[in-house]
Amino acid sequence: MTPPDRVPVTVGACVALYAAAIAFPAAMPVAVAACATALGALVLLRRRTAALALAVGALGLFTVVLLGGAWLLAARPRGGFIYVVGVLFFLFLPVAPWLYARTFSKSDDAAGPPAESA
Amino acid sequence: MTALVVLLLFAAAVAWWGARRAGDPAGYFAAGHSGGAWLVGVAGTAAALSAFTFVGGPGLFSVVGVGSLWILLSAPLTGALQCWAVGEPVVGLVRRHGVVTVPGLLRAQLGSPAAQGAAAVVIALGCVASLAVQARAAAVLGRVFLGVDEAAAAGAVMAATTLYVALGGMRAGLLADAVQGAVMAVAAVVLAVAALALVGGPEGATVVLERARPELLGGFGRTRPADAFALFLLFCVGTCAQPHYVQKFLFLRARHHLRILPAVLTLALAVTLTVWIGVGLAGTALAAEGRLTLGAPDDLAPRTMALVGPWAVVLAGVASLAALMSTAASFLNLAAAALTRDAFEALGRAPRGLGAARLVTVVVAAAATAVGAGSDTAVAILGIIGWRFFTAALLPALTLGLAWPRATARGAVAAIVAGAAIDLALEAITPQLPAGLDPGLAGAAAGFLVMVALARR
Repeated sequence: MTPPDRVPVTVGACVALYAAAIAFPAAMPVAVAACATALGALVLLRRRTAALALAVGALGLFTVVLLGGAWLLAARPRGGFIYVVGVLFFLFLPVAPWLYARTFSKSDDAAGPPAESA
Repeated sequence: MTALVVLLLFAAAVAWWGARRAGDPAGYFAAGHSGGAWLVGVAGTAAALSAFTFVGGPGLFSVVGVGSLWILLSAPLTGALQCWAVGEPVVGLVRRHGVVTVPGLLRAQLGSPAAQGAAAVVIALGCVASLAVQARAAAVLGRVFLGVDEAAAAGAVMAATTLYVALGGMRAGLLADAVQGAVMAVAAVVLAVAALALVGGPEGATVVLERARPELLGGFGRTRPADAFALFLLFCVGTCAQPHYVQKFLFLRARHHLRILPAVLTLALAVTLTVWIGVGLAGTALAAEGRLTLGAPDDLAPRTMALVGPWAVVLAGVASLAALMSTAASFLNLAAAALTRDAFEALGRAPRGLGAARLVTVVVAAAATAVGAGSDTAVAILGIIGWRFFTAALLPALTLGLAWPRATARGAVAAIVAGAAIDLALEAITPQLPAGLDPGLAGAAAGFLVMVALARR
């Protein structure tokens, strides 16, 4: 049985969220994280596994929380700056590469070396 | 002047090496699909980070403060995102169809010469504009770091880059990019630490700015929060649409190299971006203390280096030149591929040979140098405009188009046209746009909707 195609709904939801966030900027952390995560979730069209879905979902959730933190600290000159550079940039660095490596699949390697160039 | 001579000698050596190995289209445009994760990751980062990182970024910090950092805050996400969304499909298409160009990916996946042609037009236009940014940066760098005439600096740097790209294609480009990437990474850390040492480290710089210019700190600096988030999203998803980013996946020799590629990309990116944060923060604090006078934002990095010492000026000059040469090399090769290969294939004709590609490389470089050297617009602004254009025009086609089985060639072409048109229209009225509405993101959003509307039923 073919799984339901969620691409049209996802595209519509992301565009709607982005438009809503322009009108209500407090929604920006959610809209931004959702759009970025949706792009990464394209991998699920090729490799639909529970581990991969969990990794992409967790990354999205983590991104929302981190972006929300910046919003909360917006008015604190020192605290906001330290959070943005220290947490949102440096501490966040290893998360996505680690999730990618953990969920990577070598399955397509069976196809062999590159074809003759056109 | 000595630095420019060394630059030309380096370019000549790389050109000689590459010309002997780039005898076919795969070698010339896709480095012979010969790279591993470390080589492609370091070279890809060098190509991705232009003089924008060394000159425009720190300069932008002095104007909008922390708001400028939202351009680079998506770095932790982008490596994995690129591999999931475009890297894996690209490696698969290379293996199955022997694709050597970015527009060729759309033809191989969608079976459409029209999609290949539309992407080729966008890439050719965007690359000339982006090359002009590099030429502009070379002019600024030559004046402030090396003390030479702007036109001479832009001409020498573009000529050196053109030499090895025209002769050796991306065979030479990949090698040069990797060397330049390593130089940039080391220099970035050294320069950031040296600059921050002038103001008592990050702590000292923060104290100065908190007292003198607190509006530059906080979560967003002087940027409206919605605009900062839009920048984050633009530079996050936009990585999947920049042809010089996508091109690096054509260089990989096997799929398993993708596994650690996000880690290599993220590490190289993070190390190199320390110069943006460190020099931006230190230079702005120095300016706030009155120890530095800025005529324009792009003056911040070179004048901060001048305070550090002559060695820092030379190192910053070398690193900045490495950054812009690696980026310019990719754009030159992409433009040559689009104009001599993809455009002809899209019209149903045989692609031109490598001789034509070499000639077009020279012509494109000359045109971009003429445009860029005469521009007065800040490097940062020019860089953002180029990034937006590629994001708006190519993001839907290169992500949905390569991954979604229901995507159609008609949808991809319409998305490319609609995205580019909306971006250009909104770019003209950017100051009037509401907070958070970015021209590049708006164009991409329209493109995604168009692709879904024209999908296979």
